[in-house]
Amino acid sequence: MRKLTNLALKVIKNLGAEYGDIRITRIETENISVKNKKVEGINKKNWAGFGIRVLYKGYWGFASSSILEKKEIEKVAKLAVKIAKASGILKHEPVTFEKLSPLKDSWKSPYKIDPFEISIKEKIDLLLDVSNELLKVKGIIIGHVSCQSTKEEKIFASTENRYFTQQTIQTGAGLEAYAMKDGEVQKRSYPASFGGSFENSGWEHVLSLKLKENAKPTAKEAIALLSAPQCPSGVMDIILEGSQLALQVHESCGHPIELDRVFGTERSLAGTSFLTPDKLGKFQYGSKIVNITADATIKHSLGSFGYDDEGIPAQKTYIVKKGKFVGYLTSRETAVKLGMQSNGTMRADGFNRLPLIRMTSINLLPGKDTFNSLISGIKNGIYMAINKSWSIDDKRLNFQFACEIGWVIKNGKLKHIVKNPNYTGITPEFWNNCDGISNKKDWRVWGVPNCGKGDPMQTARVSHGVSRARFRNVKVGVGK
Amino acid sequence: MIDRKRFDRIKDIIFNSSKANDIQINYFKNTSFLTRLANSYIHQNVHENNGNIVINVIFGKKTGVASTNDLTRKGLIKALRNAEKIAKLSPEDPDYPGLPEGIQAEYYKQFNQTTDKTTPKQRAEMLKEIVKLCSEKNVNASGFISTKTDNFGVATTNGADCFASASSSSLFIITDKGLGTGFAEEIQNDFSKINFKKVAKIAIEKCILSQNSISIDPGEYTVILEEAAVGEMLTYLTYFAFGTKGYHEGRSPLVGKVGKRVFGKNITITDNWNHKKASGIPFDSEGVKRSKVSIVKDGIFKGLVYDNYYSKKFKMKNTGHALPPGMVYGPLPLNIALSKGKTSPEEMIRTTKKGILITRFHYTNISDPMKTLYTGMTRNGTFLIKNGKIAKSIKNMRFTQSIIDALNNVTQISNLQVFSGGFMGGGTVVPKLKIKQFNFTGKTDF
Repeated sequence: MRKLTNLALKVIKNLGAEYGDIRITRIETENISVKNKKVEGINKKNWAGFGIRVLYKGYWGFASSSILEKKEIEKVAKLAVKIAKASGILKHEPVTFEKLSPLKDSWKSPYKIDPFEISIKEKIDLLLDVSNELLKVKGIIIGHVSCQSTKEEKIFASTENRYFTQQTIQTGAGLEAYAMKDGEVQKRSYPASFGGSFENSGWEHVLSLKLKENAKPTAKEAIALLSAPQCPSGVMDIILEGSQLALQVHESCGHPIELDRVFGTERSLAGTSFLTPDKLGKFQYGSKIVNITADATIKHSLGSFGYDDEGIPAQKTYIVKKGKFVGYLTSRETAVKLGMQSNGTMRADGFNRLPLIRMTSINLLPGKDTFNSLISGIKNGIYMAINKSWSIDDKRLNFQFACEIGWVIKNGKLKHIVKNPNYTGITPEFWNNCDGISNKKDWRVWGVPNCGKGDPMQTARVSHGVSRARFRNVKVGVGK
Repeated sequence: MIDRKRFDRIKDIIFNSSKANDIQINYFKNTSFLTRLANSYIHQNVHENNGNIVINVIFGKKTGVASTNDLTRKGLIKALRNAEKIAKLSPEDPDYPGLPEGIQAEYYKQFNQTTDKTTPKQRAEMLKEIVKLCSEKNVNASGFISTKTDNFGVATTNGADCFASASSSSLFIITDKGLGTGFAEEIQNDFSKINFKKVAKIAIEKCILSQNSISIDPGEYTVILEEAAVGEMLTYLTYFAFGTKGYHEGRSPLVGKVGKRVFGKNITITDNWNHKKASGIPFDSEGVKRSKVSIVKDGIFKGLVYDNYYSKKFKMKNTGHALPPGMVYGPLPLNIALSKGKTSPEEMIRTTKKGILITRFHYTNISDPMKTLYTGMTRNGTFLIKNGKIAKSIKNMRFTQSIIDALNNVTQISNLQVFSGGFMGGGTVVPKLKIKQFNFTGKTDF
């Protein structure tokens, strides 16, 4: 492969580009889905190719191909330069960034059991077993279980003589129980919705989820929701469970700190950000107990890696410190505009996509509370768990989330469940009303495997470390 | 380019190398370019050349799916063996009906040489012209111009041998000045037919009209939804209400309502791949001829689309709507057209005493699928209408609204339709809609 990367870099240099890099990527994925005791789908995918990015006189070009041959690499490298030249037809301030020193390294994500060494039969048997358990609960109409394994092997080489290889193994699994009565359908998922729990781990992660043991309790909650009262409407206090809080962090903190959005280069699709550079180091994003980091070095976290797709090593940085907004997610091109250095967040969704600023693991650091102390501080409120839907405006201010299940809190005690809970708010108001975060014992990292951004669309695998947190005076039960 | 020859080679290798009872092959070849604009300059400019094959191997009532984009002989055989291994290890599906009898078809009507041969320079020059028009009005431009050709081949051991090639050019422009923004788009088969000056003019006008927005209180309002907003709403309806699998699993709000009125009498929805404004193809992933299907006629729910599996299982006609192997969504109508009405867009505004004109939505999501309760924000041009005229730009609003209720409250439909791109290569052909009692539940400060 080194010969192929050298060829690409030689062509780029010979054509006069000041910078270029090539990524050769191979991805193997295996998805298995079982629904109502039947295998719904098994899909094995092998996907490989290369992408070449060049900077010519300050303008970018990118071209990619799935044909991993010498001739094609030469052709695509030339095309990338031609595209970069075309970018220069619209004149603007040329892109510049600081030169990096040479690098040679390799990185592998940690795992115990290679998921591709586990036979498909063993995986099917596990999922069928879990599906059977779900359907044992009377009233369940759909028992759905799925697992996913991914292995990505990447080679990166640049004209700055930086070269690394990187292997990432990821697994995920989860279950869903649907209950129906009189035309009403309620769903409960475990351990999280939209596919379950995902990590940079081997098959041991799937086994650790204890899907079978959790099938019946989850299914029973789906049944209970059918006869539960609707979530009340009004302004009240809420506590968010971990996987829901992870998505809250994702949408209202993770996206607005992407510096490309801030500079307007994602305006056409994802939007911009309310966290403009004048707010850096000054703006009170949240209450003083709110501390948020971007950390690509947490072991087994879905947002961790060795190097980003510009060859910058994984890092940990503060985003919010004691409630104050102090940092962005940056790239080489954007960081320099604020007099900074990249904190290594440029990632591409495969060989055929350009790297963009993506979340790593954006974490709300643990506080001092326990779940019980969070509850005991509420007279009238709702504890909400497991995301059902999400929506936020294009500057990341006005959001609305719906959850699968809620519990009424009255006078410091957790009471009965309620169905269809949702809440809405404005990002800084919401985070400034956070007055309790549970401690380290309650903290874990949740993988989010489906973060969309860019044109053409890219899906990134990111994560969020959170525990549970309490928010005061939130508008609940919207649109009833 | 039309890539039929490579598909023929792949078919030969796969069919001659497998010992399975039956095989289904789907071939996808994508050559695309996208030039992206932000802050009135080109910040991203990309090309992709990718081809992949999906192989479905069948042993009796066992099936196995594998896919690869390594189209060398070695890569194809590896994928085939993976599929065979999966099929052998999979439990039998007693409902699996085997492959349907396929047709032989070639469809190149959507292939366009001009689009296929468009150069990076041509795309950049078009954006340069747009930026020039925007600069004259002190407006920034963002968005993209993309050109692509997709090839889709289907072959089965039950007679299917189909190939289609389709080109598409999309121009998508967002304008901004201060807090005001605007939007316009155009999708054409032929790059040279894109009226970029018109697109720029609409986006600029919206942006200028969006200055000095006022804030209004949430509540129920009459709205006029422009095509992008209608298309997005219908796309959600397609997935959550018109999805055949969800319907038969009891997850659709339309369960048990065939033959009953579900929307207002003025709503007619058809899945029609051959609509003159659509971009469909005449066969599905199993090589079955795709039919035009009436889904809602004059507000009455007529039925769904089917593939071979669901048509046999539920004794319905196979309408040729199978998705590629490995996709677990079940058959979906991907070429939805909402019939046009008789009112001109100007008349829709002129006859509105008080209402809101919505250009498009942002980050929409279904929070209660059985009610089709749908939330999201307005974006890129939201205007208050008073006494038949656009009175003022308003700050963006959050809506939380049942789509089914909205389609029961349509009071006017425009006399023009536009193609609006959708998911999985589909899209919707939609007019503008005037809807009463549309529910807004929040607002933002821009």
